[in-house]
Amino acid sequence: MAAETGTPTTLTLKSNDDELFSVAESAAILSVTIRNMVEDGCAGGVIPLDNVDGKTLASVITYMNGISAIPADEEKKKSYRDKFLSDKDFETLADMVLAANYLNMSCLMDAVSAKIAQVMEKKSVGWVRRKFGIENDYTPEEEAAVKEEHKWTFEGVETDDDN
Amino acid sequence: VQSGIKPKLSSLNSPPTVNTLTKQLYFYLRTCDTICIGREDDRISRLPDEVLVEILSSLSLKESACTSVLSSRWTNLWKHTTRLYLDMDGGSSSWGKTKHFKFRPVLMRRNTSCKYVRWVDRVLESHKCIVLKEFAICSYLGLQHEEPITRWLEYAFARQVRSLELNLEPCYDDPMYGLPRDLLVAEGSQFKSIEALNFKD
Repeated sequence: MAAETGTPTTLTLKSNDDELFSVAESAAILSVTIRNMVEDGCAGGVIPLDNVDGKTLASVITYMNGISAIPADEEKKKSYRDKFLSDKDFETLADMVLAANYLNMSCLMDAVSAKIAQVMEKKSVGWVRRKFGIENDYTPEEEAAVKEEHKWTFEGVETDDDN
Repeated sequence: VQSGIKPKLSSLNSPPTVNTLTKQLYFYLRTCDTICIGREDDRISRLPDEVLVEILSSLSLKESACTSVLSSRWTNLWKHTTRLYLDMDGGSSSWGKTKHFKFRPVLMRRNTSCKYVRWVDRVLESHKCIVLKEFAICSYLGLQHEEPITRWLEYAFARQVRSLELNLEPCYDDPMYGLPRDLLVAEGSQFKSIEALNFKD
């Protein structure tokens, strides 16, 4: 988007814990939130991102730079995303999904959501509860009613045992 | 509080069990636009609705519906997913995994198709999404089921579907379903491009 001036424009992003980051505008505008600010001419100084901490923002910027360096090749972009997310634990993924949502970055949002969903795939309700520390707040009667309502969805999922 | 999906408060109204008291304390957390309630270590349930719906949209319909049993926080989230992949296995395929449905070489009976039609109608009846990103119908259906198929397509178009897969294989001598002209040329029709179009004899 810096085509008008011919030189790459750099933006300064500020996390909610006051860390400053420099990032090429062409990479940063992967975020629709940032792109809108740029288009509205509000990106002259420092762009404050009130919902993202420094650690997460650093990670998001690594992603922005990495993915925007790849030419339009969906396969290569996908394998970059897989590699980028492969070593992230759930806490980090949760921070990233919130940041992607706030920054309105659909490609990162989809990838992180899918990564979190992967953990639940083919797992029993009991397993998912234990894994994520979800407390079952249904009474036995309520739980039976919810199960009855969704009866048609339970076939084909593994039974309740640890794995 | 954001509109749409209301946060669940029932967990606070019910008296905590002994188990709860020994293990955790409840707490409230107010973020920019969502009130999140849950155990401190239950990070996933404290994610905002729109994020959880995105996560569930990556699961198969069956698996996302299963999450309703986790806790009251999850009861209705699955009804807002943005991808619906309605295959013959009752929504066992998740998006991205089974991009192209393979028809199994089995002898199909007409009542199987009728069962499928009832099942899809039921899914769409309970589903409450406002916008559909992806929608797929994969079944042994033909012109005999023109009415329900057209109805499902109208459902998808009314939700600004971005990607649509219609994978039909009529059984026996049932002719192929044809896309109604009205649907294609209707004002505000969302058709921008067609990626694949196969005709079978």
